[in-house]
Amino acid sequence: MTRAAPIVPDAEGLAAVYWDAAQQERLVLQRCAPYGHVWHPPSEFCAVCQASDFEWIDASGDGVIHSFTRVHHAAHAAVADWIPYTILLVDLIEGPRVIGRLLDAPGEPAIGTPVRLTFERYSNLKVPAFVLTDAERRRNSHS
Amino acid sequence: MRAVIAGVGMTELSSDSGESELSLAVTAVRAALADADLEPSAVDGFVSYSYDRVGIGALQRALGVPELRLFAEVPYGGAASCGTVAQAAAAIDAGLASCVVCYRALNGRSGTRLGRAERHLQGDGGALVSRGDRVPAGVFAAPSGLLSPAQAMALWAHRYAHDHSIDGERFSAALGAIAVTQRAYAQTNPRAVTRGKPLSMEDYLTGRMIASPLRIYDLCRENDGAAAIVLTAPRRSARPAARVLAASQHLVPHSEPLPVYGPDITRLTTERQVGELFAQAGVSPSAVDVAIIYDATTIAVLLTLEDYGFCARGGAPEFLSAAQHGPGGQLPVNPHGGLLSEGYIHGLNSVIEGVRQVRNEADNQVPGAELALVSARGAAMILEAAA
Repeated sequence: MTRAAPIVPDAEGLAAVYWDAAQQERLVLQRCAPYGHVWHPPSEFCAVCQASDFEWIDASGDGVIHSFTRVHHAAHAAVADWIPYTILLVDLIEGPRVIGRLLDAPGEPAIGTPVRLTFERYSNLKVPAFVLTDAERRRNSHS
Repeated sequence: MRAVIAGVGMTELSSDSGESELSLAVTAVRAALADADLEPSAVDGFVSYSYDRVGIGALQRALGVPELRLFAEVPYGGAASCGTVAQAAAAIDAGLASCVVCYRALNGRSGTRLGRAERHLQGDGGALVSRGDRVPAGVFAAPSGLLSPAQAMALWAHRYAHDHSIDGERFSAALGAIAVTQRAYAQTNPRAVTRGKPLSMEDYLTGRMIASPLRIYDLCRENDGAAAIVLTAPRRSARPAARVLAASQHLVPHSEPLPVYGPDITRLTTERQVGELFAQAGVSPSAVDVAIIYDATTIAVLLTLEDYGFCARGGAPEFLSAAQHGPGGQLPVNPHGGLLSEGYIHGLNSVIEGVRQVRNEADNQVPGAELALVSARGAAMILEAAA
């Protein structure tokens, strides 16, 4: 049986658009009409040109690890049974940086490693997350 | 600038004060006013942290302050330690107020713990609920388990080690040098909560990993207590004072409360802020005798040494491994033990250490210290002994 997510977002406005899309296993970003700047986290205004006319786009799902931490001590009892787990900052190829866990990787990853979008699938929520790309997995399994 | 820090005050630091935060604030402010040889009736301004739960109005009534001309709050956490003082000093220089108190009071151990996530997550019987878009613990962070400040700072740390090709052993030696040296300083600080608990490098290295690469001793303390600082215009007084030679607070997009989305998460402030601060003071970094650096975690100290020009980019690990931040080193850092080892009043206790150093009355006095830099990421001040 799939378990429930221990922490859920109570998202409003544009954040709710992001989380609604995640429930369809899409990671959405905003892109401004005048110049095509792409951003996250959601905002009514482009952080580069301050335009407020934008469209939502689907991220391709490809990115590289900007940084990471492997968490060995739970900062809240709700995630105690995740320990240890790995949090990533991922630079998506579209530009924006997003936060997500690295799944199916027991050790510490290397910064700069390519990752691919996936989702943590709970009974009540889907959360954007990442896995090492197939090429990276193959390399690791041979090393 | 012309304003001076005329008095400082602190309560005892404890794990369970048994008092309200208002009561702690009153004790600290009365101590600071007594240090300045002033009565509560002289106060006409308060600048507080937005995070503080002691309201300015409640504190005004509790102290018997008849009328305020300045009341302001500084947001975004620990940078308010220097931000409150910067705004108070500017208000005094501008004539908006004549005697301004900055304060921070928290039951940070027995009450709400800033190092944990409980304060941000509300339970409804089932799953916990996150709200807002702050990092850590907002809706884009909490569902992925990014819940505490230490975890965000661990992300800075790994990126720094990557950018400068520093291997794990060398990095641990550098961060450990901060933790061990500050703990050693705290052994001769009667206020320090870690007094009597020395720390060796071996202790540090075998300490529990919290969020890699940060271990338990890379993280600051959590405790109850309050601190207060009284600023006035320059005045005749039998008590020594610290002049605020320069002060500033800068904010760049995506740096509040902790940077994870910005272009460079290994820089805690900007070249503009640092350049303007030293230009306003009319001194160079090499003239600073002692640095008081906001140390919620050790990595913040390492990054700040580079941000403020005390080390070249990538040079802090070597500086630290050579103990240049220790007694007799090139630049003693946090000689009270810092938030890591004295205790945590959200950085305001560290501002007080800067004042003590230039008043030449610190417990671990840097001999002949005349200039102190006090910084908290993008907010900072330079203090000098007042004539």
